[in-house]
Amino acid sequence: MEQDIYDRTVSYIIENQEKFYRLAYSYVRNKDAALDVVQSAICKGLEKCCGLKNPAALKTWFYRIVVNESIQYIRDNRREVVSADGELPEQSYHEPAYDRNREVYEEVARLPEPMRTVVVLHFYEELTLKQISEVTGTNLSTVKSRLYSALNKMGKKLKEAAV
Amino acid sequence: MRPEDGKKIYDNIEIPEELSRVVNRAIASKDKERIMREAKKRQKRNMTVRIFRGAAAAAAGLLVCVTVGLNTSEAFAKEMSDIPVLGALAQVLTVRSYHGTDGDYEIDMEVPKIEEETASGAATDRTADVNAEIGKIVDDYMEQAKTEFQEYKEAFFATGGTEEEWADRKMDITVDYNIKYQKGNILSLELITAKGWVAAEEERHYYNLDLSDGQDLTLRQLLGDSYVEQCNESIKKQIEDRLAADDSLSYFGFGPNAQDDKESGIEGFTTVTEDTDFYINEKGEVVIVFPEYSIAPGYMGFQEFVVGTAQLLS
Repeated sequence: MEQDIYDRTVSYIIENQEKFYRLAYSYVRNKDAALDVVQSAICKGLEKCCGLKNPAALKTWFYRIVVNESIQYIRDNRREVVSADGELPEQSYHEPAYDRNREVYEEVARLPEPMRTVVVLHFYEELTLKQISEVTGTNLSTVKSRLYSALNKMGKKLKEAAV
Repeated sequence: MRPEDGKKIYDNIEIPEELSRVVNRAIASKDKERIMREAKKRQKRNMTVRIFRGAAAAAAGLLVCVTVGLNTSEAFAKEMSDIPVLGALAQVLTVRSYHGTDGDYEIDMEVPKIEEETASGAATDRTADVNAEIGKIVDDYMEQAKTEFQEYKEAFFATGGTEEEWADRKMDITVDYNIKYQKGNILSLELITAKGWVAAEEERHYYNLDLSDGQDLTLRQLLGDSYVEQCNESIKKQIEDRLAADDSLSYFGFGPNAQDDKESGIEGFTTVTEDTDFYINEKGEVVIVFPEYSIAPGYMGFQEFVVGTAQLLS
């Protein structure tokens, strides 16, 4: 039984490594930092996977580790990550033309926690709100209200930008 | 405005070539056998702890360190079978064993102690020193880990973290050991202290002892007078070989970025000294160990190099 969960975790990690990397990158916005986050998430996950009571929860459980590792990384490196003028570092190049997708993406990146996590997991990783509540360890109504406030906030910002 | 518009950018986040290597290495760095073994032990212990708690409810929530005297505790006597016997000369015993949760911490401790069977029953000076040193390292480590975590906790709330978010955070503190080599009167012991929260951080301490006289073994004894040259040459060659075989690897001061590293003052491997960490592996070879970040970026982890057969042993 336990044997299974370890091997299952390993294969799950290998299969979904790109997803974890993107998720981590969307937080830390730096290649090396994202690799570090993925690495420590894997190490943590493997150490803990035997304690996983419900193997069906593997997916949400591992997302949770990646999200937590990412957020902690940012907290810990806050001063270095955000430069003096408050701009996010390592912005990929801006298309010279008006780029709606990029603008939305940047707006999501600017959302405060925990709103951003909800938006990223829901719209980018396509998790259901129920799954997100498992990832973040909060109840469903909290996830919903965070999502609505995020949408609200983004709506306002993007409108302001358009003016 | 629709948030899903950003998905395109998200899905196009470039996946670096080295990702799969980093992933595979992280997986390879974990010892499944050990983790499974510990998980089993933990289950067993959780039962023990519950019994303790039931018996002494007032003590619940306190950090209890259990010092185990041999055969004095039935609960731990069962684990005697796990204790390796080192020839007739020495045994490595787990003297402090604690597994459990204490508020913000999840602690896993197996603190080794070397016990020698000398005629008088008294340990030689050096083993006594090693035991005292292990005890001190462990105590300092716990102290430091807790201080750091408290500071982190304060910062967490000061920067707007909520109780709800905090609830899930635990700091893991682990103390464990491995016997790398045991034959005759030679003992090579690895003590591992690790804490995990922001990132997993690990320290490894090595003890290489000749129990016949209770002395530390040195690289000079094991490899001869030209040990510095021998190690340096071997390590540099191995670094070059590894870089040539796998371009996702990286060592400070070597490979394509050597010049950049030099200009930005990053110094990688230069030379071993008499203080460089090493152990003796089961084949009787000397293995040099460099901690994370010391000669290579963090994702490379601990770096080990087999530099030759230990002369004393052959």
